[in-house]
This record gives sequence, structure tokens and C-alpha cells, in this order.
Amino acid sequence: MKLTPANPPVNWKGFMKSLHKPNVKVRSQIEFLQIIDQPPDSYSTVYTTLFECLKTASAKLMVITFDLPLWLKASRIFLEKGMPVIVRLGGFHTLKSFLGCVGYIMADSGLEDLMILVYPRDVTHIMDGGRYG
Amino acid sequence: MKNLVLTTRPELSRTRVIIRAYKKKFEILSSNSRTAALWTTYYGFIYLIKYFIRAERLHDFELHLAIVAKMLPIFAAAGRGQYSKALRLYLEQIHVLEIQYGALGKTFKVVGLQSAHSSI
Repeated sequence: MKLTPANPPVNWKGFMKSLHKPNVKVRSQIEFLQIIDQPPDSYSTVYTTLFECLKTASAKLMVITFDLPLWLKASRIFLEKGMPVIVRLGGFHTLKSFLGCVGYIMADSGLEDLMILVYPRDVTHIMDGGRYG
Repeated sequence: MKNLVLTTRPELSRTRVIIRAYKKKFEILSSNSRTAALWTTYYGFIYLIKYFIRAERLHDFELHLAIVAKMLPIFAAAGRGQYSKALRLYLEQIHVLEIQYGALGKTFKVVGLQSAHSSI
């Protein structure tokens, strides 16, 4: 991108906007849906969620995110029912569990002692991935 | 000010050179000592974590899949049976996706429909 008299310098937001003009993404519409007053881990609740989402989305292909235990159930349901759904595995809990794995592998290596210098409390929780951020 | 042209290419190739040098150094270090091997492995984990967060925030689905595939053996090594099982199934499903839905599956990957964009 070139700064010319015809293309004057703008503020940061405008600069980023003009820089990313070719690949603008569609703005999402975020809304709360009705709460399903059922135990969250039962198959029927997951099925209802998928069904209602499909009805609301009315798209050819729908993307939905679940975390681990529900993801297993949801992916089983959509495979059996042949729903036009992509079930994503939630990133946050995956990352938390991964941090736990790193803590497990690096246990007794001195990483805990290093961490204690920075975070005086709760190092065990950092090591098992319980504390993110 | 007039001739300010933004190109990231030279910087990128320079970074690549640095990364390659790092990797070489890491290999030498980890072949010399077991402690060094442990810490270079640790660096690898941190690298994965950083790139995972990057993929999630930038809606980069290809990167997300690549990083998840790299995470999988570590989950298995640390004895997280649930996650190693689920991630394997997940990768399988996503790879089938493109075949199953054709062009739609591809848009899903490229446009980043999997995440919400809150503002333009």
C-alpha cells in the first residue's frame, strides 16, 4: 500500500480497514436462544440443541462448537442422523487440557520452581492446566 | 513519507533464516545433552500453544487443524485418553468434510465461518 496525496494517512482504525479491504468478513449476528431446561449431558438434550440450531440457521451446512464430553455425543448423533452439521471441538478446553499435558510431562523438571518465582501461589494449578491466563 | 511502501517480504525471509538457525541449534543441543533435549521439547510445547491461540484468534482453520494434529501425540503421551480419542475422531471428521460437502466444506475452511466476527 502506498501513501500518496490521493491516499492520505488516516488513523489506525482507518489504516487497518483499508489494508484489509479485500478480505472483509461478514459481521456475525449474535443472539441468545431459548434455554433447554433439561440435563445438559443427556443425548436428547444434545439432539434438541442440534435440531433447534438447524431450524434457526436454515442453512445448507451448519457449524456448531461443543466441548469434549458433549462433543462425543453430538458427533455420534449427527453421524447417525446424517445431519448437515460440522461439529467443532472447543478450543479453550482443548488448550487447557494441553497445558495439563505439558505440566504432566514437565513435572519434576524444575519448571515448577521457575514458575514459583513469577507466580508465588497456585503453581500446582498452573502445572495441571487448571489455571489458564 | 511519500514513498512509504509496506512490504513484509524481506522481514519474513529474515525471520525464516532465524527460525532455521534456531532449529539447527536446538538439534545440536538436544543431541548433546538430555536436559537440553527436555527443554527444547518444552519449547516445542510452548510453540504449539502459541500457534493454537493464534489459529483460534485469527480464525485460521488450516493452522488449527495442523496444530491439533501435532498436539495429538502429546495428549497420548501424557495419558489423556479422552482427548487423544476425541481429537483423532475430530481430525477424521474434518478431513471427510471436504469430500462430503465439496465446495461448501471448502468455504467453511477458507472464510472462517467457524467463528464469530463481532465487528467489521
